[in-house]
Amino acid sequence: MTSDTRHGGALDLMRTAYPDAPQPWIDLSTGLNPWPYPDLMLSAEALAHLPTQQMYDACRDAMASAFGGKPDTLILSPGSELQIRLLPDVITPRSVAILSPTYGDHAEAWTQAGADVIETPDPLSYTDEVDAIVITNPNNPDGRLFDPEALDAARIALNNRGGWLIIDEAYADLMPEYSIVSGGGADGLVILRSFGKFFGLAGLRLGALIASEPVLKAMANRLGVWPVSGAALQIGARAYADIAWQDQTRDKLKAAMDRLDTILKSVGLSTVGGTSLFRLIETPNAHVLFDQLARAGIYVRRFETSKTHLRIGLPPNPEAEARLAAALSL
Amino acid sequence: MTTVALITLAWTLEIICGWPNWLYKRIRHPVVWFGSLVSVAERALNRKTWAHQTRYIAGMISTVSLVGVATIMAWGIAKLLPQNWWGVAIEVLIASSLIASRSLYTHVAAVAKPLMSNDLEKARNAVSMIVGRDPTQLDEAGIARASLESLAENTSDGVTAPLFWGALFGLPGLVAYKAINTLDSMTGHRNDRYAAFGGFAARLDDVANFIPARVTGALIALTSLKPTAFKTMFDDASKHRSPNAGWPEAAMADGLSVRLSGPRSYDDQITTDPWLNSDGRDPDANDIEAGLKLYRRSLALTYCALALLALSLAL
Repeated sequence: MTSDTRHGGALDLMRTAYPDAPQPWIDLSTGLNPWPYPDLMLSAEALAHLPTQQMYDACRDAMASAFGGKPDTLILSPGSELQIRLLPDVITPRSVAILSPTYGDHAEAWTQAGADVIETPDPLSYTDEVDAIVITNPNNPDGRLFDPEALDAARIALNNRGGWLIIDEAYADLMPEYSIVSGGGADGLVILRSFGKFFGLAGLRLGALIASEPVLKAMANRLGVWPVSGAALQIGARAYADIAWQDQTRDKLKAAMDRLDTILKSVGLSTVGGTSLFRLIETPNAHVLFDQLARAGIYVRRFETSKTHLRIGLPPNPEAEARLAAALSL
Repeated sequence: MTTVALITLAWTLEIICGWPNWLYKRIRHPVVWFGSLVSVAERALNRKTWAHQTRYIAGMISTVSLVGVATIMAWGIAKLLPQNWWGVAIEVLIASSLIASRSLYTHVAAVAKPLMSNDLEKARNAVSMIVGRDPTQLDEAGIARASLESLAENTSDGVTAPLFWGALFGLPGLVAYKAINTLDSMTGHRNDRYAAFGGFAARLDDVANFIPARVTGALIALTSLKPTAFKTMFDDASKHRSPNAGWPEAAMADGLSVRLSGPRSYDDQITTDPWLNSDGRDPDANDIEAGLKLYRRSLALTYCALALLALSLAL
């Protein structure tokens, strides 16, 4: 990785670029839950043996139940990123309208696959023109939300022409009421889910694909016999079954989001979007503010495409909140 | 005797006898003989190392020569046969072997039967005889869909088109069409091996089926007795990836109130294909039976029209 502008999370690069910054670094660049799911106990079996079908089913069933979907409309994957990369090999739309701005790898994967890609703030207006629409809901980085009913209408129109609605629900655990997993398995609908962000365990590499049977089969063939590690299956099964922790976490993240908004507001920065995992701010010279924060040992997300926006994750503790407030008011 | 009368007699014979199994076991079938020639030409002239354009021209030369040879042979036979009853009988016999209404019915009925009794394995086996897609991926709706699409498309390719070209140009016309159609089904695939070599045969087949496909669509729409079938056919036919198959398929789809075509699995990829009659439900085994009924009705209408034309020309 040579640049931090694509995904964030390049703390090693920041240490080199700002050697005099105060320690420890506060990494607010990724938008992951800073309070990960705590119960990470693994049985020896999870690592000493190949993952069993039973472990796979347990994780899948817990996931489906947490999402409000049906287990047979879902397959597991090692994170949603790999699915974004493999999807253009499974389904073959010639033209794709992708929500903009959003997670950049969607456009990259479809462009590499040779599709005609349109990046647009209003992809649903292309329903009658393109073969596929890609929307992240809630969206990253602006937190934009799409109404499930509008999405379903688009799915029906697209499917009539053999087209596809692709919904990246990487942040849907934050707002389950906007998820359309309950309608998963319908023709022409592909939903991507991600474990790492909401549960704060991005390194575990766990995700899911929800789609109709032919798409699931074709994707499963590409993912092979053991797509997900025993560790991910065991922790995933436990975490998704722990509905109480998920409810508490949603509240906790919202409270932290409110505190972050208060800090930002106190220094005159306006939040223009985001979710309860990160806030998007607009400021005339974002890269100057990025530099100012980095000198104070605080790493936030900047963008290749915008010089006026920064994305700031949740400070993990009161000290971090205080350091952020101090660094911003310089 | 007129070409229309010849074709009417040939079809009558085909409806009654088809191409009996004992005969197939002994001498195979004229299309199989021609197919062996196509294989020989393809292996000799479809070289991987050649450029796309060279392979296209090689395919074009093969197509023109093979169709030419078959047509000239048919023309010679028609000329050389004596103008008496047994000369006509032999010509009728040869022509009847190139119409496929009975075998199409048999093949599609062979899918419906096991599907009715929920024997998916047998139904998949039967459907693999008539379609190119991977049958292991197909559920009941997928099997029914594939069978109905094949039934509609082959009503045009295997019945209406041979009758049409035979009625216009007699045995040579019928043989020329059958040669083009066989070349298309053997080499007209859109994959690395055939895209260039089979390109010309595929275009030629599109031209040969242009009128028959539309006539077949109209016949199916008419005999379905559904007023919406014509509208659906005109609206949806052009959505199909083939310029011709959409016509009979869209008429069949609306005629049975099911949806056909749509995304499908090929080589572990799911294609982006539009639905025909997208408001229809997914077909099941009963719809194959209904499709076969519709097929019989539309062929009955074709037969009456052809026989009337033959009679009126004879008077």
